Amino acid sequence: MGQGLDMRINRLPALTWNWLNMNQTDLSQVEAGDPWRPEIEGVQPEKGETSGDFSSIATGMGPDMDQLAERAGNPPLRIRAAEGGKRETARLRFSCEDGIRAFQQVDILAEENSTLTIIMEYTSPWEAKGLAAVQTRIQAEKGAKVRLIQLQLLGSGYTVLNDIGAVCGEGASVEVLQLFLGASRTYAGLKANLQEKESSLGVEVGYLGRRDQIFDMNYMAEHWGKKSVSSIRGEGVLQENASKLFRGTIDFKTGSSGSEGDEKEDVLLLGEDAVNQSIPLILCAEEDVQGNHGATIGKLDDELLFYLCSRGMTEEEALNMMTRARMDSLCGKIGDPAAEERVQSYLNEVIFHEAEN
Amino acid sequence: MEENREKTYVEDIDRSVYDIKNDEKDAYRLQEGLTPAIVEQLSREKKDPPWMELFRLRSLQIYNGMAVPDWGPSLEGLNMDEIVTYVRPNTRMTAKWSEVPKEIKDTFERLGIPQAERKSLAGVGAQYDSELVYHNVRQEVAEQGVVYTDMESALKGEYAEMVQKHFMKLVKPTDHKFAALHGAVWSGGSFVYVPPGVSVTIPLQSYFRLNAPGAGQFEHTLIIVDEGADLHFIEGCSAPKYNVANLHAGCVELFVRKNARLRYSTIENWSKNMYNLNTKRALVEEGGVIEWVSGSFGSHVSYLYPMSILKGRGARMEFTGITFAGKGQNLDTGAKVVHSAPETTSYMNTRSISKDGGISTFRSSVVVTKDAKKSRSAVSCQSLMLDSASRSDTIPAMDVRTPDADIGHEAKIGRISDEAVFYLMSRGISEEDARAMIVSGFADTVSKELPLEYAVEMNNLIQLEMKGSIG
Repeated sequence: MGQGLDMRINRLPALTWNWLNMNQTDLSQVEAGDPWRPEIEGVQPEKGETSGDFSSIATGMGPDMDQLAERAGNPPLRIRAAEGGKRETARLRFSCEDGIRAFQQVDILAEENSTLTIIMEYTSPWEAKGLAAVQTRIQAEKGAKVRLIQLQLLGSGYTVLNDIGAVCGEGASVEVLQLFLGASRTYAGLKANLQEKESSLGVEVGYLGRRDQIFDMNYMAEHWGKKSVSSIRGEGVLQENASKLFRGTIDFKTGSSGSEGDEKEDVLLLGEDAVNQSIPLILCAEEDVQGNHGATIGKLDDELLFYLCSRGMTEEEALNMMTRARMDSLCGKIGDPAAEERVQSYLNEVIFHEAEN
Repeated sequence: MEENREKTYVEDIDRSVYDIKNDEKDAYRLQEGLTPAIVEQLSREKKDPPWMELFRLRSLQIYNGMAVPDWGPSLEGLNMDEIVTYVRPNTRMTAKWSEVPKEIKDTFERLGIPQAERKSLAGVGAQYDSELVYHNVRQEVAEQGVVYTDMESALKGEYAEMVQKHFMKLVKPTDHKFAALHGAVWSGGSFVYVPPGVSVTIPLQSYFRLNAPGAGQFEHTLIIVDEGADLHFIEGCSAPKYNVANLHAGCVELFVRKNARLRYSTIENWSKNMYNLNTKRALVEEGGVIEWVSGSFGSHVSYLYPMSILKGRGARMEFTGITFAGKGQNLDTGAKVVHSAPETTSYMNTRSISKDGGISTFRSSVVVTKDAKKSRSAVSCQSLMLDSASRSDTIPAMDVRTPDADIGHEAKIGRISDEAVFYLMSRGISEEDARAMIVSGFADTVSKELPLEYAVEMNNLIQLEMKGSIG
């Protein structure tokens, strides 16, 4: 393994005051050269070169991730959904052993009118340490529908770099559901280029921060095509000393008339030393668009807490119940019973038992 | 069909009254540029006390060591080597309009300042280029112990100690490059002190007029509203348009003591060759209230974000702002608030309109520290795009470090709603009137916060002229 890479990631497309420390994140000496391959079910990866230009797809974490990929040297995993074809759910399980530092690119080509669901799970033993970096690049051609579910269920010593880039053709849609529950540091980015008319992006991100976990995120929807639609939703709970920085951008480019973008963030702050940072941008160079964003950040509603306590719960039990309810709600959106069960099991065994003990 | 729809037409601001230029043949000007020798010369001209001369030179050092911002509108057209930092009109400050030289007096007459003073103000300060030419406060207000004077007098007179104690303590020269520049070359501006419990029932106003081409204006406004006191201060500014860049790097420091209230209203109408890099900040103590009302219409480039530090329990801040960016303008405006005490509240409500290639950016920050328990903040920003040659961006940041706070944010960007126009038309209103009504209503939330005379001025500034046709 060579020298690590100093990286600048998750840079805002329009910068703001430097003293806020939100413009970007710098990582020093990142190494990710170990060989690594996920277990794959339900899909046969392509062998050799496939069609699709993935090198031009920009991602949310930025160009330094491409550089890290190059240094890591692992060949990309290529998945193709054939034109008009429907696939069963494909599962990619990234098992992370203690001590590995690895990078894997996953290139997804969804040909015209294809439908593809991919579930990626990142797991490790609870006490494991290491670095897991995954860059997923999606090319969704005309009318294609891609659903990507990423479940981060890693051990408490892991650092995760989870990067996504997508390009959407006419009428294509990319839906992303992410649950970040483990690891000590999660850096995540997503950039979707809604290139053609009526293309769409839907993102839902859920996170549960405990101890001194760090979540650093950057989501961007670039509207180029007419009547393109984007929705970015972040929902999370921050306990103890956890900290989170959520950057979200809806960017209406000239010519994207009739487009709509919506961004919402809902953060439940439960830790006395938790830190929440949010910066939801709307950039607009087109008159005929609608962009909205909203954020609600705070504690559990006093009346709700009072009600729960009046039913015999302690405050701690009530807060745990509400945390669990948020996670359950997101978990229920996975739509795959086996994956949902594993998430529930992770929540039960690792997080809530830990809290009880 | 849609492409052929006739768009709402919003006139550029009528600037004729602001664009009248006077010769500056009688004025004293410093050499262009920014060197220690120029700063020393300025200090001599101002007859600064020794501490101020040192302060200026230290600020210049800081300025030279700092980079221009890398996050806002481009400042490439601003060359400090070509800016004259001090231009003194050939007159002394007076408390009688009749003693102000005719040409300068006529300028302020056209801007309506003496008339406003007679009708609705408790005091007026009128600055022309780098110095005040007129300053007056009503006798009954002065008798309440209210001090309203020019900064130069305050620096040397009875309030010298108070000024030294507060001057650039809230906005330090190290804050950013243009705060440092201000520290080095400031001149003019007003000092206001409102004693405990005194309520000034009608506003004070300072008006800043920059007449000299290629000059900078660096006025300093220092206001202390003592315990339980109440003040409304209005700031206006304008300049004629020249082909060379002008610079405004003023500084406003506001101290709002326990249970005091200060409303600070600004109608900014600089010319479109102006770089407006102004810094405003308020420190609000227990139970105090700062209310900002801000209209940004002029300037080529603006960086303007009044900041409020809510230092005492129960301190409160409200910011109401409107920005109108037309052709050739890049107006980056907004507000900042720091909640650093329990039970503090803040509310920001802004509107921006972009047209004809104008760029409007709403930028904000809400910082809630660990100590600010039971604090609340709400931010609402709405932007209206009138054509696709323009830009409108919103960049709001929130940093929350206590679980016991409620923070909300909402933003909307869009065009005039066809449904709203259709609804109004279905009630018998013409499309032209419907569109005019919607745009006026959009700006109304801000203009209603201004005193009547200034709301009228704002409406005159916007001069919404609508035309439309069915389809």
